[in-house]
Amino acid sequence: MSESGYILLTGATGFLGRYLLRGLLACGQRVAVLVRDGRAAPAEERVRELTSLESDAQRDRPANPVVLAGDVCAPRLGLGIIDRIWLARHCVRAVHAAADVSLRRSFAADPWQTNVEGTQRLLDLCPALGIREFHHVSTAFVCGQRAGPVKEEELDRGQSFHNDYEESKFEAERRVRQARHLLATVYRPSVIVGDSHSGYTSSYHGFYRFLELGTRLAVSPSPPLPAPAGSPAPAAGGTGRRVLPLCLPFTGDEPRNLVPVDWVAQAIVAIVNQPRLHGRTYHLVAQTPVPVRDIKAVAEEVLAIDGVRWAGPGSRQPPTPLEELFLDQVREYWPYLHGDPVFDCRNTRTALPRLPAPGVDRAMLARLIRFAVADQWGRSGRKKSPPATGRACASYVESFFPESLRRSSLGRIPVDVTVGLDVAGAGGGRWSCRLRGGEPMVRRGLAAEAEVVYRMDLATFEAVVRGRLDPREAFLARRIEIEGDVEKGLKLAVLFDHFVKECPYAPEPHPEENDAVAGRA
Amino acid sequence: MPSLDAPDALVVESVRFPAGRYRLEGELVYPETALPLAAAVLAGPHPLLGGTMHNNVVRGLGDGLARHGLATLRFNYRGVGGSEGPAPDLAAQLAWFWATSRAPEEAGYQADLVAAVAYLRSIIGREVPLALVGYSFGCTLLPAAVPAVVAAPLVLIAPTVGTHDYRAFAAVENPKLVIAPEGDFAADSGRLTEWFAGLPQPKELVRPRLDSHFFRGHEHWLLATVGTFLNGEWR
Repeated sequence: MSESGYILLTGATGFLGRYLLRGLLACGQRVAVLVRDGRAAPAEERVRELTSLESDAQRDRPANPVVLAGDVCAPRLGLGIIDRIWLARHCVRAVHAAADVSLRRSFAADPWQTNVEGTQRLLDLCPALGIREFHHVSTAFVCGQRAGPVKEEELDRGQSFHNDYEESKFEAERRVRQARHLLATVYRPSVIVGDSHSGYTSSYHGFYRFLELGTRLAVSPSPPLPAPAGSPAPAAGGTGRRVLPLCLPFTGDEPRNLVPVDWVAQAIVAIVNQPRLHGRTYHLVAQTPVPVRDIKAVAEEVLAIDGVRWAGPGSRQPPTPLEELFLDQVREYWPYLHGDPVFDCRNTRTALPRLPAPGVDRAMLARLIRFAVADQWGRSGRKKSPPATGRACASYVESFFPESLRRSSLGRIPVDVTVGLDVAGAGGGRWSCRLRGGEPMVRRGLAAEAEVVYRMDLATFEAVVRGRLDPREAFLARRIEIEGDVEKGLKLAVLFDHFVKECPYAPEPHPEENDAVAGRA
Repeated sequence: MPSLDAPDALVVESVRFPAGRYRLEGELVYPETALPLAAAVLAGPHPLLGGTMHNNVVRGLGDGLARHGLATLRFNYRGVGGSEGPAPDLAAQLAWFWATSRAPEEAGYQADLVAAVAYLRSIIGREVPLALVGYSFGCTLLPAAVPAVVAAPLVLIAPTVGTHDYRAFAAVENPKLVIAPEGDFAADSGRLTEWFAGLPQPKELVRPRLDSHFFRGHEHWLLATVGTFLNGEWR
């Protein structure tokens, strides 16, 4: 029977996306994620890493998402007909969190390609997929150069934009709002920072860029002059504190609208889960922005850096070479030096009266900065899980399948046949399996006596054993080739499809993956 | 379920219709801007061998003929996909299937096809010409629906002669196009030749060398061949 009710989530490997994925799964939603195959790991593995890396104490693992290897920027999202049919049968909602946060146009045409073209491609496919409910993660900065107060219903007020990012997100949101066949709900977070509890982040932009640059440019002070005998120990110089002699064009009062990623995800999930709230736009912003002076104070304490002073925006002093260097390195953020606009968030407050945006206080700022330092501002060479697919492939064929077969219906069917399996690509392999009276005998390599040989790639193998792809459909789509006795091969495929349903395969993450998580928490 | 590959000018309507005590799911496909000139019901392959209405041949012909002005109906047999059906004794059924390539519900599938024809007739009326298209196991079901479609052209694609019972076709005088691929694992070539020779006229046999039984990547060729035959019959 048909089964519906999945949410299609894009951008699940992104900073916000991984929180959205976990949040949706944790509240019982069934989720299908659209993920690109990475250079180092296939989509499925990238998602497996995500669902096991959360940095806080909550370790209960909800159901795994269905992983669809694709790309929002590719025609038809890069999905084959089988995945699209699966989506059409199972998904009626989409949460579109895929985005590129580059402020300036890159050689690869981002952020426009991902933000506008990717959104358009998803919008174009929605009618064919039967998706009628569209949750779009935009940004509060679609307001461009408006000073505010910016209302949630407003979008096009003839504003100019500071950069390509703002304009591309504006254009994407405009297209979402114009899609008549969809009920669109728009979420506009302001500046997303790390986890409010752990400080975890995987995205080092804006706020972090300033602090990282300051850390790199700060220097140890000159050794203090020898103190006269009997005088107290010096307060600086021997304390590990460093100096950054910068006079920046701030007053210290400039407001920064920072919101922690976990709250943004929580708010979006809460609204996704309440249909009566759909069809509106929500500013997910801080009710009380953080003044720059607070950030400076906490940074000085955590980073042990002194010497930064405010010159105010109208300072006429010529900048020092260090100041020129500093400001040049954060040139793309110049438009924001005077602070963020005022965002009206009436819709959000009304919709989520019990989930107000947490205030980013000094304690939270300290957590954010400490995490970034420990993570070396994203360059800590986080331990990547070794490709687990090959392990899973062999593990399935050599362990899971024979053990499960004995207690399955398939094991009671009087089959006597030798089957070959050839899974191409890194992590694949070749096996032969003699099925006889429910007692499978598996060995490596293709046996000459194999009556049927199945050939496929790794992605197809994984999709089949996880129950996402009917092997018969895979054969008809030419993702599986059957050599030898085709009829027997097809009949076995039928039996195997029943076996997969009876014995679903959901391997636990490899212990090394959890080690990697713990290291980051 | 909406169609995935059809252009905007094609309507794919999810439908449900009665077949005895069950309700079957189907997809009715027709041109958006013009009244259908003709219609076709498609009977898919064996449910235990990939036989759903989403099969490449069934879908390709269903959408393709609709693009040429026909209303087409494809459907899932009882117990398949979203179609209602008896709860199977899975282990016993699979064991029997492994040994015989047959399923206990096969007799019921004939009733499903007859119901599909009646349903499509109820929509398009009696004046619009109707064709029956069977693919693989679905070919065996066509004679059961012939009384309801007197003189309607029949298309048999990769008939499973030698595996299933095709004797009923000896009394079928409707125009017949038989597309029987060379090297089809599901048909006995010798028996197929003998069977075809015994069929009453009018009849036509095409023996392509295409992907054995499955027509993967040759759906357009199939559409052109079937379309040419139907055009000739309805000229």
